[in-house]
Amino acid sequence: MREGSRHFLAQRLTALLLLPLVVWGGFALAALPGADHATVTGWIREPVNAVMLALLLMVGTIHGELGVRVVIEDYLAPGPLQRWLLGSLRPLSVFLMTLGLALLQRIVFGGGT
Amino acid sequence: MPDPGCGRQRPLSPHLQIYRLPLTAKMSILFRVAGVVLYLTMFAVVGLLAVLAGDGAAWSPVRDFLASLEGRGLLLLLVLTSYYHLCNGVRHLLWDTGRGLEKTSLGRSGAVVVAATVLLTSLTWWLAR
Repeated sequence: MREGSRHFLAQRLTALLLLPLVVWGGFALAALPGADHATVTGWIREPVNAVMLALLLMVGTIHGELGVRVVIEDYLAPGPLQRWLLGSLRPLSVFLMTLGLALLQRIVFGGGT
Repeated sequence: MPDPGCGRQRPLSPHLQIYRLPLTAKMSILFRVAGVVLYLTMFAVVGLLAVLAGDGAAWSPVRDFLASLEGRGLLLLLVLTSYYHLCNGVRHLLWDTGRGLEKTSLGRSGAVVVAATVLLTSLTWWLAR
């Protein structure tokens, strides 16, 4: 499959997967005001929420990278800056996803209550 | 010598500083802006996880900010951004199947997206309290 088709399909497949995840995430953000440490960590430790958050981090990062790539390609003139940004995007996304998952893992399985 | 178009009325592309963009165009650029904002929001979410991985003392200034008017406003805006990108994304998925591409239905689906975004945001904010 050509690069363009692969991008097109991956963007739409991740979009479909994100539909329930984003609704879940919207509720999570809306519930944050005033929540204390134990409430939030306890909520994240619930298996359903931990899985949803892990999926949102993974699928959201992939979908985000696909979209931001197009934005950089469309709005920046080809040149050193565009090349540098396009080159940084993958490492940045890998960093975002792995750090997010590692922290989530620490909150869910780490010691303490 | 042939005159390459001088004196002839030539079509002009919309001059972005004075051209009033139609709803469809405004929604299109907002969709992309929202997408980029949401990618950046993921970094903020990972930042929150970093604080949460620590103890309660580290969380308390964050909690105070999120409970403040500015913090609540920011969260509300992010929920709105999420739903806007989601709703307009569904519109894009329908377009991908070849449906709804006539000029009249473009305006109509745009209005539906705006209404759905406001509705879902209000509903979520109200239910999550």
